[in-house]
Amino acid sequence: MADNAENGTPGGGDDQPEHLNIKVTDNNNEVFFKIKRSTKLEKLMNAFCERQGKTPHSVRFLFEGQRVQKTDTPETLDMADGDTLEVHQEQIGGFSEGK
Amino acid sequence: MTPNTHSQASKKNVPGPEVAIARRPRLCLADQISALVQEATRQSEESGTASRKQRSIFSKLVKRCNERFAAAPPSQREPVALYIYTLFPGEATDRVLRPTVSAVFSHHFSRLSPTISGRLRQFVNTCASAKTTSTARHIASPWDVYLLFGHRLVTSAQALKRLNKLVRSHPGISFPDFYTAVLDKARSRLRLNASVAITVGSAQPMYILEPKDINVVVDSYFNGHDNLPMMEEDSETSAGSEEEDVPEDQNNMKASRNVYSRYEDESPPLETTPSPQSSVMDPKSSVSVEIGRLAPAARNHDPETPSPLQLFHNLPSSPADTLSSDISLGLFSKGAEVSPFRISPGHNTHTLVPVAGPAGDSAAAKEHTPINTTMPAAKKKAEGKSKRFDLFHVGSFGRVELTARDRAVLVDPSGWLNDHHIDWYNHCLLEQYFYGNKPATLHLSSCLRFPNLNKLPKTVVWVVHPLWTSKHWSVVFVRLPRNDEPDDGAVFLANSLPNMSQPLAKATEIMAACKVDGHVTVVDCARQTNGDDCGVLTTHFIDLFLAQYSENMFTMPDLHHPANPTLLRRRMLFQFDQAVRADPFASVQLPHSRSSPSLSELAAKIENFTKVAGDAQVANEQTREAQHSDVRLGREDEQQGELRMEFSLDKLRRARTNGPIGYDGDIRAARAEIQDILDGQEQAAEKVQLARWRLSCVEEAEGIATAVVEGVANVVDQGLRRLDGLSEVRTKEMLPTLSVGPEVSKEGEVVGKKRPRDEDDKETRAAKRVWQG
Repeated sequence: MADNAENGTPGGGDDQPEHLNIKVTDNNNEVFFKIKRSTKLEKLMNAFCERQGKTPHSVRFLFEGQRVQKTDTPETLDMADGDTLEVHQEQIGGFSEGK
Repeated sequence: MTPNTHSQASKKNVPGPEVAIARRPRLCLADQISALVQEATRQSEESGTASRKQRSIFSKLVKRCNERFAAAPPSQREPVALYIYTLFPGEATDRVLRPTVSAVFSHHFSRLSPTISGRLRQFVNTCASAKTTSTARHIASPWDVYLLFGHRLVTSAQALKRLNKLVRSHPGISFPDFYTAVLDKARSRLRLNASVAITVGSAQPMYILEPKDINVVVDSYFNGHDNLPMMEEDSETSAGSEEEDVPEDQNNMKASRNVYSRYEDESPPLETTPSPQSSVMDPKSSVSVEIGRLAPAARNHDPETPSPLQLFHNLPSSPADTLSSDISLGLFSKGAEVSPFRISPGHNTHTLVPVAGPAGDSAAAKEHTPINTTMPAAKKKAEGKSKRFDLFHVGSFGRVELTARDRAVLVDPSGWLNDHHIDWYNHCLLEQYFYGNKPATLHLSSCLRFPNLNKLPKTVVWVVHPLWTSKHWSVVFVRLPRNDEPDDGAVFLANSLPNMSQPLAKATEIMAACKVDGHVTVVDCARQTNGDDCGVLTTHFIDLFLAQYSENMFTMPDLHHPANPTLLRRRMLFQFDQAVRADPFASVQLPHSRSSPSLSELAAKIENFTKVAGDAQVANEQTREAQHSDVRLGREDEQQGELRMEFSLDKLRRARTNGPIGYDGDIRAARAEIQDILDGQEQAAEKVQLARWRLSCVEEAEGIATAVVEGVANVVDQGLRRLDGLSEVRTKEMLPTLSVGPEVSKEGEVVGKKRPRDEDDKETRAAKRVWQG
């Protein structure tokens, strides 16, 4: 136990920390969240949308180029501390207004 | 192992309730599978005589199939996607074919999707039109055995000919007809003895057709052959005696044996595992199909021990699991040397372990390496993080979560498609054209961002990227340069509004990122006529590209094809609803369950239906009456016809029997008549001559008479003249005396003058007599 405490791994032999720092960016803003590994990312997404004044269905969250679902957790996505979630606008198209 | 412990173990092996599937297609193909197993295991103990040749041929067939499709390691295994001959939706075909073909090579079904469309029809037409197809014609078999492997229809040349003939003769043939015909052919030609039991454990209701407590289904048409070892009565009765000791939760087993007892004299009984009484279906649990039969050596085997020839196969339970699972082969591992397997549940994988024979041949079991079957990805995902990204499996649309809002966009003819629609439908197209076996040379990227070329496999040649620029959809097709030669690459832009500058600028950026020299080629394609259909047309362009895609394609295929955006929207909506129906966890509710009609609408509908039903009933009665009257009239005509036929036959019979005599009599009579006629003619001629003679006589007599008359007339005239002269003389003489007659005068002169008067009277009298005669 003493060795574990010295190494800074309070998880009793678990190398991965329980909390993660996740950066969410939409190329203009960067927001950092500290969440548990088992927390659903829906919470993070809603918090980001609320902070940016956007509706959840109008943005897309990507992690390593793949879409993130509401039910995903950092654990299921195998996220590490400091990973980044990209935020993209919903792409909807019919024709060009600025043609 | 005691019977009770074994029953507990078998419970663990096959979770959930068991139901029987009494479906012909399943049974037929299962027969083939059982025949394969039987043949493979019987090579060493050849006992049959009549069908020995057939079985040897079939074993070769199996061996070649195995070498071609299954013997390779999974990494090098030839991709085989299931090719189904149908116009039905994928759900129906999946339901029919999954438990059959998957029992042979189940990894086919990992590529099955509900997006199967009429493209499959093209293969049948190709079979019909082309003399040489891509089938495995090298497999020589005198039977009409059709095995469906991926894109290939493995069959013999003769069977292929019959198939082509069948398709030609039935231009509108549909899947059930075709499939039934194929199975009928196989059934009629395949004369192997086999007894098959299909036991399906806990399954999704979609795949359960007869959810009854019947475990065993025995085919009756494959039985009774020479080398089929029949189950002896002793073992059957002993099995029955043991049933009394089993606990009540094994009633299903009793029921199965009761059902089987009807076929007791035809086939051996099959080992079935008891099922729990719970009827709750766990959709996440896997389906286990058990195909078993008893070997000859197992006839006296303890029925509670596992059958030496049982094949357990693990199947996913839903299309979602099907698409995301990677189930490997579970039947043929070493050529034709196939051993029966039993399933061994593990933590993350199920293992098919060879079952030791009844004689305790454990060494034989050691020769066969276990075959691992991975679990469905959904289960895997639920258990851990080993599989991080299950892209676009239909169950939850992969990472794309379509919602009712997205569906409303498809319903609206002027709705604008978003990135969810594009990505999801691109995945559907991939499934439709490649059945998940996407070519290694193709990469269809998400529309959110262009892929990182450094992370792409080196085999990728074409990159398809839906382009979104300022609320407009277009698509970029990039042919990546090979060997770092920029001239080898090209960038094509398909835009429904080709005059726009933003997509062209974006495509140019992509071209620069891909290190392609030259300029962006704007492809000639369909143009939109409104401000809403660019997304739909973009999917149409990708559809055309994928439809014409081939791995060696170098130039851009023709995308100039007219499109109906309304129909495209309907197609997308149809596939959307199909996917929702196939997904037990779908959050989207379809309209029929979301908005219930009002009572008045329901009442109106019921009234309308009642009216229609009444009209239909009246029409049916009228039709039935008309049919009855037609039948009556037809029967009357038939009776009359029969009478006429009898009369004609009688006449013919009489003519045959009396024909020659009658002919002679007729000829004789005719001759007699002719003779009579000739005699009559002679008599008539004589009569004519006589009449002519008489006529001539009459004419002569007439002439004579005329002459006589004339003579008489002359005489009469003369007489009259003389009379007149005499009278004048007498008058002159008698005037002075006024005496009348000779008596008056007594002198002789007067008396002598009376004599001429008498002479005249005599002549007159004679003339009159002649004239009168």
